[in-house]
Amino acid sequence: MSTEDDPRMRLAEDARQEVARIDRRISIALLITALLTLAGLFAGALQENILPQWSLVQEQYLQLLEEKATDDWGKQVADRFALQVSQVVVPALGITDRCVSCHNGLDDPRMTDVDQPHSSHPGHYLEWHEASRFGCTICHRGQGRALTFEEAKGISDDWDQPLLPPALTQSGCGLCHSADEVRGQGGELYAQGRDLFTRRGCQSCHKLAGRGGIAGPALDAEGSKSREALTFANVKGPHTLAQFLAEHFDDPQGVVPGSEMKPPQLTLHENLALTIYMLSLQDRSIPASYLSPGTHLELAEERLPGNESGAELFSRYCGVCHDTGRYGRYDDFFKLFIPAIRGKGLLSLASSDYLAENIRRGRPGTRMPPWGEASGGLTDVEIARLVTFIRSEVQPPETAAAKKLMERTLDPDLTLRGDALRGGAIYARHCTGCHGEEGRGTIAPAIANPVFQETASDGFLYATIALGRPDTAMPNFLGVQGMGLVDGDVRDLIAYLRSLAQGGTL
Amino acid sequence: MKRGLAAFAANLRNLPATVRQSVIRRGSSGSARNSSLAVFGNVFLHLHATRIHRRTLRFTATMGLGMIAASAFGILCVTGLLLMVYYKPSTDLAYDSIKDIVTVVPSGRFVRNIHRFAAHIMVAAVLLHMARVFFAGAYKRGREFNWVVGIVLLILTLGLSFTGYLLPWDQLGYWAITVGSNIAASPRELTDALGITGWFDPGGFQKELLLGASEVGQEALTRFYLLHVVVLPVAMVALLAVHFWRVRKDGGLARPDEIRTRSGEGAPATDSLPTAPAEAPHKTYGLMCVVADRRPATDLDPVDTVPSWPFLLRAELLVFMVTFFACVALSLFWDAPLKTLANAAIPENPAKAPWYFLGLQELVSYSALMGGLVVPALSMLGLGLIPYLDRETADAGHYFAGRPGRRIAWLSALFAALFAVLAVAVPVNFGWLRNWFPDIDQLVIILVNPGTLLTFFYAAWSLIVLWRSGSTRLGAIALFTCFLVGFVILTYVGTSLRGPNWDFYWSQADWPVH
Amino acid sequence: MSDRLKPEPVSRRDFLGTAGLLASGVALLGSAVAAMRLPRPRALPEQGRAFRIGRPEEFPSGTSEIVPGRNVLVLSGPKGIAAISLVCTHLGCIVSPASGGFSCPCHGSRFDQLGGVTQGPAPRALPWLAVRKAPNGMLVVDGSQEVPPGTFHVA
Repeated sequence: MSTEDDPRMRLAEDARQEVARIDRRISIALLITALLTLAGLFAGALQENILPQWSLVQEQYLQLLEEKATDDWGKQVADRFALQVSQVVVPALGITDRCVSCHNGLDDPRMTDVDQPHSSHPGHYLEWHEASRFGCTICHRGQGRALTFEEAKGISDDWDQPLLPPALTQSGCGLCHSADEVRGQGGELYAQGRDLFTRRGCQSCHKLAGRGGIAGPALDAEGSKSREALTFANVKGPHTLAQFLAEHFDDPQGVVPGSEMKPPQLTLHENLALTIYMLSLQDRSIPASYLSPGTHLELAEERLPGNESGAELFSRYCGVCHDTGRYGRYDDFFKLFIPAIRGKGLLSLASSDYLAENIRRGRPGTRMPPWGEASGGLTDVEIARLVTFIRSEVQPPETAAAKKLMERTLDPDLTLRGDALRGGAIYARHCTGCHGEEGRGTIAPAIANPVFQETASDGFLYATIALGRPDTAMPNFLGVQGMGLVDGDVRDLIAYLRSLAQGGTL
Repeated sequence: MKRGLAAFAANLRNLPATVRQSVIRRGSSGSARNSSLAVFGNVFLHLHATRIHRRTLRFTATMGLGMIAASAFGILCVTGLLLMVYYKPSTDLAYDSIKDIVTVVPSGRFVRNIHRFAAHIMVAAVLLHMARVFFAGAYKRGREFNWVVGIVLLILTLGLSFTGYLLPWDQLGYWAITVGSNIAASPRELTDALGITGWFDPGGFQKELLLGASEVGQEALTRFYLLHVVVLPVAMVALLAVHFWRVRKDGGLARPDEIRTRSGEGAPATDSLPTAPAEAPHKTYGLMCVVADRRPATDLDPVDTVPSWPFLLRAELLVFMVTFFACVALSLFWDAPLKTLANAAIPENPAKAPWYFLGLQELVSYSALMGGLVVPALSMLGLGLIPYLDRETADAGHYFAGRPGRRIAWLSALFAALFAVLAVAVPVNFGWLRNWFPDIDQLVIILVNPGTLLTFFYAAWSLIVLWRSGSTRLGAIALFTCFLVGFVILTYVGTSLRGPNWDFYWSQADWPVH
Repeated sequence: MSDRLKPEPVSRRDFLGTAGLLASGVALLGSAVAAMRLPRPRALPEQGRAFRIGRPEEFPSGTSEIVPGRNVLVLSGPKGIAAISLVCTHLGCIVSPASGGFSCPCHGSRFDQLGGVTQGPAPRALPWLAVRKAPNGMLVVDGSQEVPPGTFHVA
């Protein structure tokens, strides 16, 4: 029986042919795929072994070594140079830096005239900062574990600490050194940044090491802020913390819409210095053995009353709002009136205790934060120094009547009685315009403020109303020379003012 | 003495042959017997039948999807072992160890990339394999249990991927797992609304079980590592063995009846099979029927079947090589992501899970409990029950059960697409209940949100199909198609159209600069 | 059918065998249940939920600061001091201050200044945490004790 005759056999033959056809296709596809896979693996191996950046760089460096080898020693150096990944590991700082795989000539003085990455490290820093103890990224930042320059720069979103431009590396000094130590030793910008920080009164609003105001965020870890914590929508330059800080100093509201920070108005150089100082404020823990003696001292000073004079303290913690403090003024930026705390009107009446207590406790509900040790970080010694400074230009009372009133203000036990209801009417007529309804304050201070109520004596109130504040908009109200109030009116007014404290209008 | 040396020399000469014989115990000729021995003489290959239907070799029969998934799993096991050589499961060391793997470990970056892409491929292949098996009706006629095993394997696959996501300890993994573990805690949404969390808190229990603490930390990393490298892979291997074994024991690939016919006979296979004697002990039945066939099969291979060795195994090797090549090629051009070190204070924005969870994340952005737990759990349960609720056997092995099924599938796809787009478009443009009624009760939002509505409409649609067509198979096709299309669309929306703060953007270029 | 295939009556040996099987099953199940206790330690390996934030004077009225490492916002106003958890009640992301309240980056939940939900999937308001004064005068935030929104600790 032939296959043609039997339909069954014919089908079987068809089936066999189909299988053979499929199998042939499979075999061909298998061959092709296997060869492609091999090619892919080969490409991977090439990428991995032949073409890595560091090995190309090291070959160039070896050539340089051979060119520079003028004597036997130089030849030995060249001969001993092995092509391999090299790294600096500093367990104490948690650092593994492979930068030295490409930057081979860092401590070879013969390499000053060659191009990066082969050239030697500028300056004499490496003489004092042995690489094996400090690594590279401690000052330069960047991604130490990387083996290509692109990754080492760490400018992608995948790395938080991008390589700093050379001009900003001084921020590293601040991790271990005090500003005074590095001044004139290569850390000028860092030292200037710190000076700016204290002189410009940044701490009027920002806390550092527990000392400062509360209007802005604390700055203790500003220099190690994650990029994810920042908004770069309005940053024109590269999206790095350093760039953010620099542009923010120039235009706080432009970079952070709604920011309440007063533009510090820095020159280009000052901006650089302050950015460097900000970058030095990191929450990275540095072992105590790394800190220089000066830093220990400075750290201690941050917590103990330092040597700062009253004037220095004033510009550091008060200056941004009170300026010189000699005159009351309307601040265009903060959109509010700021009292003349060094004006002779106040100082001729206010006792030192009154000033100290108001500094210590602030004025709740206003921009004036408490500065006492637990809140603003100022010790009693420092507050006393501040008060002395504030009173340094105090004028003696001019008239005998004023002198008498002045003496009364210093008597804390003096209590004046009056008719609060009547006082309220007087208040509505004469005072509401500036001090606001129920003493809530508008362009003049809030009289209902609890700290004011507690610290101001009746005598102080009486004298203030009677004499006014000569260097402010507050006129004298007593007598014919003033606004025509009589003694009883003032007493009634004081009774009304005291009732505001219980009212708890705040 | 001399004779001893001669024997020794002869043994030495025959060494290759004897060693070979001892290992594989079969001749080298390509006879049918040797082909069979190759398969059932080998403990691993024995998972295959010695002979398979020739239709199995056709591409359209399987599209190789199951084998792609299995290949990817094999690649994942090997690359995973290689990565374990360097990986350190500690919150202090994990990130740096991954950095070292991609920078200084020879081929480390390559191996890690392959691991990553193989994981993507595996998930995709498992999902497609499930769809293929479903649309071919291959869960019917004795294959019900293997379908359920497949569902469990799908869950294990997703679990492996999810647990692996945390291990690099970068922002990506940290926040994806924070979100994921809080989905586990989402029954609190309900218990809080009912005010009974104080004494009945299954959500908190699940989260603690997963994390070993109240937030993602070292304990969570240890647990996820344990799950990722031991528990889930071992369960996977065991169940894969069951899955393969049942493919064979359940009769190989499902195929339409007419294909099952013996060549030249034209009648359904069941008719041509000899009936077993009533009294015959069941166990020997299979053997008897071969012998009792009308034509002795001594000189002719059964024409519908081909030996697994080498035909099927060569095809499988091809699928494996294609999968491996895809991994290698992708790894050459794209690196697996590694974000910045995990930071518990600043969430990644947007915090996105792996792509196959983003459809769920879209639902979760209305209700964590419904979108994250109830809808997926119901879907898995529904999937598992399909073969037990659809017992029609007529169209097993036919893609889409023929023309009517194809029509239903198209209609369902359109319906599902429309509603999935609506479920995204309405809340994006008009907000949802809380925007309209700020004081609305949370219970209402749990019950009525785009996720639950979508599920409801899909179920209703398939019931309508079931009612109108009178066919459970068509109803199942409608339901499965709906969920598949809904899954694809929501996944696309979650992956491509959601940006920072989970806001809607047509393209990533429109994302606000962060 | 042959006798061989007929079911036999239960013998004593079968009973013993079944009992042994059952007992083994129960014992294994019991040990499995006992092992399920293992994943939940009696104390979770983490920082205590209650933590000290400082003296009341450190939080003058107007303060609004995030306690480092705790994801808790301490607010101080004329009514006193309060602590609000910044962990989103939806899926545990950390909310950040935004215009008019807080917003969550993960799924777009928004909260008003007192933590009430205004938008998005968050099932409930941001929890307010109990603020207490310890015997030594320090303020303590107890993260394990939630208080009704708007509860201020009066210093």
